[in-house]
Amino acid sequence: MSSPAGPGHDAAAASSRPPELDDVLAAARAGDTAAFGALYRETQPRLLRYASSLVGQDAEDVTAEAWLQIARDLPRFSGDVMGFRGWTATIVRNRAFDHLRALQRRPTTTLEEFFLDRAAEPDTAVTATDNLATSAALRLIASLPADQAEAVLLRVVVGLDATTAGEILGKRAGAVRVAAHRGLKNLAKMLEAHDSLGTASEDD
Amino acid sequence: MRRSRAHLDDLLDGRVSSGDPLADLVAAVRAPARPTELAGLDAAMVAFASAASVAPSPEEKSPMLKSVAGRLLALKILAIAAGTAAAGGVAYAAVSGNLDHPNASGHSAVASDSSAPGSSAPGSSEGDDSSAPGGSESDEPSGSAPGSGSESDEPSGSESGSPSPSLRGLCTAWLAHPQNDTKLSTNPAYSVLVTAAGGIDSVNGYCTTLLASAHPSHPTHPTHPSHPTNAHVKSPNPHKPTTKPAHPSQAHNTKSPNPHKPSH
Repeated sequence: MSSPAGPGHDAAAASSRPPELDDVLAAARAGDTAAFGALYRETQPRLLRYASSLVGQDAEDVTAEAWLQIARDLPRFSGDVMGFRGWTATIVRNRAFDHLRALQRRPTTTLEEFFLDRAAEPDTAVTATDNLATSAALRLIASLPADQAEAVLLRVVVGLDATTAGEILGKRAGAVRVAAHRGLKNLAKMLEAHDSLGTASEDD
Repeated sequence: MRRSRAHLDDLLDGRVSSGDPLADLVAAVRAPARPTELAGLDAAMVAFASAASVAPSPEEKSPMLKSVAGRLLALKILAIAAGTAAAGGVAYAAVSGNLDHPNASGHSAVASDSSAPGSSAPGSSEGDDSSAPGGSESDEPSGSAPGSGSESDEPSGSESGSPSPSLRGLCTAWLAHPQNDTKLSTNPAYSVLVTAAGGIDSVNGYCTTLLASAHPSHPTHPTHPSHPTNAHVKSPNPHKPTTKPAHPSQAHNTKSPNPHKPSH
């Protein structure tokens, strides 16, 4: 193996993919359960927080279902770690919307409507993580307009690059970048207005 | 506060660690995993091990050679994680189903569900998902070298009667837990393992022995496409590749691409 042993002590938090994770991914694809567990640990917090922003407290159920599918289909997955994140985020996203459709029995509900519904109950939107700062930050992101929220979530929370996020959202990388920038600027305004992570704003 | 596009890109990529509220917000959503966020680890690993035993991929061995370091890294990560979880005390309680958490029973159901992967067949709504992993690879070539076919028939070709891949996976999951075994034993997903080991008290020893023996003798090398010399390794019985485990590193040690294997 030629992957350099880089300074990967905080690799999971970086958006750039640590080279050794590609080795772990390859081992997991080959059937190595320990490697699969390592992938889970690296990926699940990202997916759970992303799902929390979409379905609130049902995020654990949604990600658990998603992991069953990931476990089943991983041998047929081809790609690197970034591709793996994108693939798993797509699965979570689809299951989250399936879940919401089933819950609300509105098969044609759009993403925008989901976000509007969720904004009406901000206190229950994000409860799957017990980290208050994380929950509050996710809730704040979720209060953005839908396109900005998803761009920020996929880029920052899931850790995708703009190209991979664009593939999920059906947009070009440039459009994802613009939406994410707008989202960050709006978040900065909210933060400056409220001067606290704990207060979700409904401005935009 | 004015923010340049480059600064915003740095924030999106997590390259700004602190300094302003927006950076703090980014850091908050990228915070290290909390133990409760990993409560589904066991169910996922068991599902993975079960899926592997039901539908072994023809490609299963080929990436292993170059991923030995990845596997060792993964084990190290799991070992560290196990310590962390023990300190947290909450993460793995869900395994036993005793955690008074509204979702705990859901996880148990997931775990037992996973023993029958067919029951979680892809619904019609997953059409978008299936395209991502590259459906066209469903029949991955495992290498065109003659004799490689014998490897895909029996994953543990070098040891007749050796445990199935699912037992190895279950053992890996089992040994990732530092706490007492009785909690694990209540998870029905491990019942196969407990039976195979001959009882709850034997599982630790059984798994330690199994994982120690399975890894070094794992017949990964012969199928690696980048080692065509394996095809020329003389077999004592070339006409019956399916009954004779192709294991060139044993049959012809001097040709082994990796004669010094890890001894653990």
